[in-house]
Amino acid sequence: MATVKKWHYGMLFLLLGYTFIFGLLGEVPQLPILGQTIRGLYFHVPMWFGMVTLFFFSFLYAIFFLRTKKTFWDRKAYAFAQVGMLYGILGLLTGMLWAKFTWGKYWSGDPKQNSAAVCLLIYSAYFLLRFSFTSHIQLQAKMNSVYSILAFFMSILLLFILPRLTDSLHPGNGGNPGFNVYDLDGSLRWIFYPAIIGWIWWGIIMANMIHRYLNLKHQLLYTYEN
Amino acid sequence: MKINKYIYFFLYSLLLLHTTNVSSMNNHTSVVDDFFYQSGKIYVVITMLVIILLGCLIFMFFLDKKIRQLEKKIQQSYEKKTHH
Amino acid sequence: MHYFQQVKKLFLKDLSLEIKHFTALSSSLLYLFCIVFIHYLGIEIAEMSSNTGYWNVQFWLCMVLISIFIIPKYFYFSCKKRPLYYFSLVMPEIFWIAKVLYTTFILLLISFLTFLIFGILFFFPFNFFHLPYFFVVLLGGIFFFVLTFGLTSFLAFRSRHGYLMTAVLGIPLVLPVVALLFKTTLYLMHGIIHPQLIGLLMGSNVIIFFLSLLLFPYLWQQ
Repeated sequence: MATVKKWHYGMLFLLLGYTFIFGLLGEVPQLPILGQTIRGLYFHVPMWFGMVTLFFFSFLYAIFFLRTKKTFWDRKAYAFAQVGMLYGILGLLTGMLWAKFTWGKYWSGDPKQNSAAVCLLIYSAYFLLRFSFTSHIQLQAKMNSVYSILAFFMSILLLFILPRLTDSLHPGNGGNPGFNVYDLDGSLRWIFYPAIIGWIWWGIIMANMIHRYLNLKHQLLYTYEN
Repeated sequence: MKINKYIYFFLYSLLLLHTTNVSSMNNHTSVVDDFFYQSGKIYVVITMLVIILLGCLIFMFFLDKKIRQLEKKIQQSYEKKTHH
Repeated sequence: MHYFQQVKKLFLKDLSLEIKHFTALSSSLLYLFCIVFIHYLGIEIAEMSSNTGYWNVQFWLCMVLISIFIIPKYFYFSCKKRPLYYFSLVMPEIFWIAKVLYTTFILLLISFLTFLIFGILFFFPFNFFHLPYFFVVLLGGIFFFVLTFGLTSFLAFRSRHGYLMTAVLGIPLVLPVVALLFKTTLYLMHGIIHPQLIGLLMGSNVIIFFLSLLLFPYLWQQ
């Protein structure tokens, strides 16, 4: 059973503490509308990287389930999808806040915003499917794995291909310069990459905790009761 | 009951943000907006940090509580089984 | 007074059941949100050019609603008893391909009819040169709808809520492609053939086709 070791937490505190302190106090390029909100790069963007990575793990474990037919993997896939969903919601909320004070509106119909919302809708359908089975565990796991694979491919299409075809207010799309243009001396990068690693790290820790919870529940239902 | 909290949270947050959007549409004269626009909008970043940290910490707190309850339950049922 | 009491009791019983089984309510909420979102995406496109934009959006919304209504008829209700018989005869992939091709054929006829009715009631927005391209886009869209709703009706068949889940699971998956279709058709109406968009549509069709071939055997097994 996956348990969280002490050095996992130590690593987490080190990485995220570094990004919080230097993200808030470090030097950033001065730009007209963005102002200090360019620091949102360290807090908003890692959420999306984390979400995609966690959904990818969920997709991998769904494939593992279909290969081995052990519900252990299905529970793991569910745990990773849950944390991915949490990151998606937090990313959407922070993104809306950032949009309000730079673009002027919480929701301006930007293609990336729309596709992120659709991605969350797809995964909410996944959770719904999960809870519309009650009795047959093997069948439930099979159906969920199939839907999870479909959902992952659709969200890849959504998040990586569709927004590139149309004009977006986000940096790096449709004629807008990306953040790497502002990052002349590479100082943003030195905080941005550790932030991504740190948030993915935390996501994996949380997912393993959920997995442990689900395994205990399964144990309780299928070994002690019978 | 359990999955739906994600969906409801998502829908509710959209609804809530829309209502606040209407009340402060064009000219930002409200106290909240003045607060966010001062000193290069640094408070926007701080609010973002608070949102993501709180979100993850609350999630972890409730998860931990649930795991502890479940472990207690398993212990009890195990003891019952060995006792008989 | 007696009848009133009975009505009240039944009403309260339904309410308590609804609260007890939250999934039914939340699945309809998700469906509602997806439908609103499709309309929101459509209105965004329609605002770009008033007359043709609205034609395009209305046409595709019509097609989505028609396919939600029709496709489960060919998939969901066909997986009740007969599959056990087919299962002994052919490979699941063969059964799937045949089923998909037949449903696409039926839906293509229906969509031509829809196109004609739209043209008679409103107007025909394409010139002679761009009409074949529109039919290619139409075929791509319909093929995608059939594959997705077909897979989700097999998923829904096993779940507790049954028929209702087909649309709930299918619509979020279809949403991005509907947005793509809106955009592609709008470009075609203004005489621009956008090869990137059409290529992306075809690419997503190919991906979902091979994915469904890989995944269908898992849905089939008892």
